[in-house]
Amino acid sequence: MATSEGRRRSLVAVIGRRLLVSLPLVVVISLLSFVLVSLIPGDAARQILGTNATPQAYERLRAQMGLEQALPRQYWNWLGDAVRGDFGVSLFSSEEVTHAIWSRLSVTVSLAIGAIVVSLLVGVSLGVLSSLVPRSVGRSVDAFAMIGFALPGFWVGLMLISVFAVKVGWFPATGYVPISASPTDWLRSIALPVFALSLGSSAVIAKQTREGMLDVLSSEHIRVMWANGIPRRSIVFRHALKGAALPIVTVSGLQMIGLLTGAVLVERVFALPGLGGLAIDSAQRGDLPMVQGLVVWFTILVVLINLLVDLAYSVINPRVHV
Amino acid sequence: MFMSSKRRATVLAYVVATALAMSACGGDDDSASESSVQATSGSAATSGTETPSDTASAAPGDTASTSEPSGTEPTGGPAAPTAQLTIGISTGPGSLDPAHDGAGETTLVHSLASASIIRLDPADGSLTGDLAETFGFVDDEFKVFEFTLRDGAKFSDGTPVDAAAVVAWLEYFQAAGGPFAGSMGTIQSIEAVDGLTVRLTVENPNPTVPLLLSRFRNWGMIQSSTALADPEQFGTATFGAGPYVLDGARTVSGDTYTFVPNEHYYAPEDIRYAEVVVKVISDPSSMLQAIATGQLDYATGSPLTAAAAMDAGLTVDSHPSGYNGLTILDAGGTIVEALGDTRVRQALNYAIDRVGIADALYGEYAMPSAQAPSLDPFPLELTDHYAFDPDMARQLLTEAGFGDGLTLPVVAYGEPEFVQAMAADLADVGVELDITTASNIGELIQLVVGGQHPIIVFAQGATTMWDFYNSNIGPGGILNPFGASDSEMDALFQEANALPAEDALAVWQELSERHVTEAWDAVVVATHAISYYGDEVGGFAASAAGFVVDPTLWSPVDG
Repeated sequence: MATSEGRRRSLVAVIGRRLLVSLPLVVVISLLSFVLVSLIPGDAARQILGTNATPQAYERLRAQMGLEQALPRQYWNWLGDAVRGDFGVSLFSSEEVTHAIWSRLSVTVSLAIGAIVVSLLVGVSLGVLSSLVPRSVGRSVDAFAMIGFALPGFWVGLMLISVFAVKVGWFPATGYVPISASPTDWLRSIALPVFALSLGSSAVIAKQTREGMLDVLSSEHIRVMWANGIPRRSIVFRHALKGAALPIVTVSGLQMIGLLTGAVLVERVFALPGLGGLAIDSAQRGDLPMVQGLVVWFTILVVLINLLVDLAYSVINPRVHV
Repeated sequence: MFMSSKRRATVLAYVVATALAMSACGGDDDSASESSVQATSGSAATSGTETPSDTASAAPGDTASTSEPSGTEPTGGPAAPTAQLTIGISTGPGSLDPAHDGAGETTLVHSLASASIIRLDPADGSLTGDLAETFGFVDDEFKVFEFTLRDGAKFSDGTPVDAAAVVAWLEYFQAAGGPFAGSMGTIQSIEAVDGLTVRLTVENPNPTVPLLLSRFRNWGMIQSSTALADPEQFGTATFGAGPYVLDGARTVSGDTYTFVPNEHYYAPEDIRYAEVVVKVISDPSSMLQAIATGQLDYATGSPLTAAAAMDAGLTVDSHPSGYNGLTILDAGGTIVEALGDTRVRQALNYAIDRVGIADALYGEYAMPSAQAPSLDPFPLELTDHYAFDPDMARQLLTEAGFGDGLTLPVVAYGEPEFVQAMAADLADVGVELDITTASNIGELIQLVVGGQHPIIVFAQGATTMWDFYNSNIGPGGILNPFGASDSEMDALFQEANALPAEDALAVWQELSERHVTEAWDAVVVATHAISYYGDEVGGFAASAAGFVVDPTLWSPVDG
């Protein structure tokens, strides 16, 4: 039997292998994003100069920004700095890319984690419930979940602000408070945006849970348990839900990845300084260093999420090799 | 990998700990962007874009007097302010370096940290001294401008505001190649006459120099030489000589800018807030909700939410600040021959229902106008020069030989409803717009200089006629890429440049009116800057002449 030290080393090795394998992925994605952003009309120099972009002013500013270099050279220069941990500075604000991302990371992570936790609680509960009750009730729960999926998150956000911030004043209408400043205010500041974001994810998870549960509940070994008089609670939560859990974990991981960047509209509505909004603004303006930095960080976050999903697999089903 | 229960618990603990750590990581301790309103609120109107103002360019030999610092006489030092001011704007500064940033709402941010050489009064557009005690042209041709700095002023890093620092800044501004680097025209020299006096000599007459040395085009917002040596410092800090300085630890670029008092400010009694927080909220509805719930003391508004703001009990202020319509780049008919014919351009003007569009899309927050508003304070007497008359439009088109119709390539940026409304009116008289939509200002300019589009549509801020001529009408103007010319307008420009400000006004008016009668463009609406504020902040002022509001002049109202 493997020793605890051996198991710890095994876990570290798995994590290390995953991160190592993700390096080529980061390079490929960064190259792809570099090319795509370069294709957006109107470079950073024109953005800055606006209607004052006389040809002379434009060429001078382009040269100052290094934009007159060939794209492969620009990318190579960026890559050379990036491997040393230097992602450069914004072409517009001169703010260090790392600093800009770091100052917004907690917002995005808070939203994503908060939304996925709420989604799991609501989605799994609804999914389990709808698999156990009569079919008509189950379909009602399905329909309710689908409505949640269909409603745009930003619209839901505006409605939540209107009711819970403006009318009753329970929550702030806009803004974000870091958890380090005040855990209570942090919770209040993300409550409404998390709920707005989680509606769609809850629906997807509810649907997945319902399908998985129905599938497992109709299996032979579950029928045997019923026949043997094993308590319902034990059958549902210890056996059936466990059997349906793996696809739920997979879908949750995908939802969380989607929440990282898909939250941009909700960020706008609640005026939250998240990474999604920064990515959109930077891409639109052609702020290449910022876009590249964001791409790298997003890729790392996606790798980490996938790693967490795999670790969750191993917890739920020890027979699964990570 | 097989796991025991204990092992599973350990892995679960890793997962939960990682999740919590990630949500707590990043940001700074107090990069809070939730703005809790203290006992201060309310503001005067602000303009989100440029507003007409008096161009109080000094006559040759005149010197302007210093504006006396306001506030009570300090007795044993001014009391430390305690109130917080929270401001909402829709667009954050592109850079904290005024040399690399535009103007408009972002000027509000720069004003907090950067005093200017000359103060532009938001109440009436008058020009008085700020960092300069005296200023004025010292020749008869509006080419040589001198100003003397007040003694003892310092930047936020403690270095002195002296002639050497100002010269360094002005040279840096010109070399930085930012949006307004060319606003002065060709500069022959910038020199320190003595320790506190600077002389600026331009190649061509430019009576707008005093205005340019205010916060109007950022030239006047001098920064410490410490930052000029390494401009990347502007990424997270400010280096002006204004009443406040940026607190980088509580600032999230593009979202929240937190300012605290500048201990080196030359008039500490004029610092009235312990903290000024500027929040960037791009969604108009969210902005309204934020000020309606007390998170903001002041907010830039929008025609979309103004009625709701009034219903919410907020004070809504608006004043003219810009214009929109068809900006004709090809008035000479280089790529679309038809546009070289004045009758065709006049037909476009007659075809558009200005009153209907202004009423439908802007309500009371825009004025139908065929004449572009100007910061030069002459009366706009040709706003209704082109009454809505589709029959006249068709007649003119027929006379010009285009009775069968015409297709015009147009690039549009922003306000799609406005573009479509004009397109519908023009289609009625046989003019089809082939619309290309630019997704950002950079793309718009790229298409402009690409030489394929004779007309663009985008909202512009009111500016001086000097500026307007150089960008829209004169040779080399960015909005005159095909080099169209009108000898009479050229002559009027030269004439105005050679006159004192008061005398030049009539000439600028004549130039503006010829711009209308020759249908050089088809201006449709004069748009308004809209602001929302409550009652808790005093000292606010805003006007069409005053450009953007100046929050450094505001103060908390007790009770």
